Amino acid sequence: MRDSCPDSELLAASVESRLTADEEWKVLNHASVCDDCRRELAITRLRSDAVPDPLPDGLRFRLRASGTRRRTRSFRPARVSPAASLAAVLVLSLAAILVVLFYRDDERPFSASSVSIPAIRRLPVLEIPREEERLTRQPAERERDPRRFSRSEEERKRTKPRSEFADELPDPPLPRETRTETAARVFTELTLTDVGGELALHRGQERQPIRGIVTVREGDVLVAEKPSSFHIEGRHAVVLPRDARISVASSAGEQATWLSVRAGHVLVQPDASAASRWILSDGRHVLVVEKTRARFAASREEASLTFAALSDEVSVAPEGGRADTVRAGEEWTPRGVARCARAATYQGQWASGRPRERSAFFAACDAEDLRRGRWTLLEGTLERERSSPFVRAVEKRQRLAATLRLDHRVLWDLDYLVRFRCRTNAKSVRIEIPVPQNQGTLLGELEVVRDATNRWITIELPLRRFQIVGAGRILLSSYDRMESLEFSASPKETHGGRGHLEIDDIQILER
Amino acid sequence: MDDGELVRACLARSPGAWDELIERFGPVVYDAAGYTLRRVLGSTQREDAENVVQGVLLGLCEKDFHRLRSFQGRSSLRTWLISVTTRFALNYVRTEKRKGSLRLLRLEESGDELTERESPNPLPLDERERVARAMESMPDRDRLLLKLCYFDGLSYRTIAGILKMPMNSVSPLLSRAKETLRKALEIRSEAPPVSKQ
Repeated sequence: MRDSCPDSELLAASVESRLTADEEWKVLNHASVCDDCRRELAITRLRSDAVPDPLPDGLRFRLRASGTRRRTRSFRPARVSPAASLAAVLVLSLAAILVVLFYRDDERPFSASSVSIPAIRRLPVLEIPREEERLTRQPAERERDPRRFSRSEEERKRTKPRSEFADELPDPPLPRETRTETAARVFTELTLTDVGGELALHRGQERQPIRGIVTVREGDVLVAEKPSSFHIEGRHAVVLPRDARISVASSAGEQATWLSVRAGHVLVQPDASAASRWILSDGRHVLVVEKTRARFAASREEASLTFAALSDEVSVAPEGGRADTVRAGEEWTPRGVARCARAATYQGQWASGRPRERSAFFAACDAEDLRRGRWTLLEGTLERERSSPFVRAVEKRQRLAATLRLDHRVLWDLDYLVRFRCRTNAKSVRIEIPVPQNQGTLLGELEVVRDATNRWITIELPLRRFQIVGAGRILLSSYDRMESLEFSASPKETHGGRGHLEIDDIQILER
Repeated sequence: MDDGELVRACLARSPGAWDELIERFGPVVYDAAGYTLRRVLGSTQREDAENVVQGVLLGLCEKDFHRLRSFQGRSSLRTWLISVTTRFALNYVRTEKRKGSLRLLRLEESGDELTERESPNPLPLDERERVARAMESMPDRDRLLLKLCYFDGLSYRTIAGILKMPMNSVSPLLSRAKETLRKALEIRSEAPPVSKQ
């Protein structure tokens, strides 16, 4: 770091967009030439929204203790002159002689004469406050951290009396106790993909059967009318047996998926590529499942939440309570951890009901989806009809075109298929996928029959059926990335009327 | 207790304030320390991360809370602490390297530790110098854009956040910056060598 570097507060303010345009300009200009400041800016930006893990216990207590020690005032001997030192020695000597004389006088056997003329009044004894008194002195602190003061009677008896200065030292760690209150959370929408089986979405008084892609939010209830399955955000697989009712949303602050079991049970296989955090609830109790990749079942039994690990060891904790380890084939209940009697049933339901396809890329074509940056609309407009959004192709160079860039880049696999919903009156719809590394394009073309015009239809096209354009041969490897998808149609070649093309629910599927 | 009140309570040595600060922001500092060390070194030893955390948090209360007093509230306390931790961790890496106690360090050797790790065939030194010189001649914003993208490996979203621009603008600006760099490199290769007389 150099003297000319802006201080950390200025960089932090830049990350939070709190600087004036002039200050911002100076900070960014400096960052363009100073590697340390650029890294500081980048890392601060990257970590500003992160949800950190708790501090290791040892480090936390070291920090608390060290901080406390540093805050106590240290004693420094003052510089004194030799004359003052001599005077102090004399005074102390005189005081010592007097104390010795008085001590002897006090040691004498009790008599009336000795009591009547006390030479020096004895100093009051400094009482060490008892534990109870010490606790009652700090009501505010006790309210703020009740766990610290909620010691049992036994523990108080075991605790040795301590001096006044003991307050400055941190208390030893106490065993964690289960709190009953749960944290308030802000939920955001999330998208379910690859919905299969017979699943209905209950939103308020409305009931709507769902398939393919659907965006759900807190308050929506998913009801499995027959065994069903889906992926959450194209990643975590979920299986619901018949009559299961759940709600699901995203707890953005905790970067966790919130799953509320309203009836029956739910089986979940989190994405194996990244550890995920889950918050399970039955409406009253909350269970936090930390960073799991293991398959699990959550159910609502006897009005309380239970959790079964099915494929690996998992750490679970009732909110605010002590974490328990649940091994594969074990079940956690509020009473403890025990063998899961229904593990075989769960495994069987999983094997028969798991989703058979997975979205490598999906776009529900709504604003929330776009805001999350999963894709970018390069050509076309985002529109809404009643409550359902979609992408409308715009006319450009005598073509109707809608182009999406996939920000979540998809690696090529010729076994993939492209699925999308479309509404058009054009006679044919074309899909183009550029292959930049090979300077060619994969082209798929579909005829739209007259009966299918002007209504939403679902189209599926395997990549193997695409033609190669602009290059003699296209060699695809897993290093090549699929970066964009273009849907187009001719506005002049229609089944009647002015040409239009609307696209919705785009998926690149793996089966 | 909001951030400002917590800082004031710490400065006034209120009982429990320091513990509250550790409880609330200790994990944030630990996370930033671990992330910075991982980013620079490729992996993190737990002791190194703990050293950084202790250095940052105890540095706050040294000299009668001199460091904490310097916080003016222009940003949130959390973001400020992340920034302070990152700076401390980068300095820590540099100091420990000087002492020879870190083995995996490449902070000084390469302008770009991430690219070098990922690239199986790094550029020869003279080529790298040529690119570095060409980058120096570029406009500030283009240079920063290229560095954030290719040196730091940031996503378009993060880059857009840092440069306060829409995410859609990153890609075209990046293409333009690469074009500028290409031209600067061509000009440099065409320029006659300076004769020593």
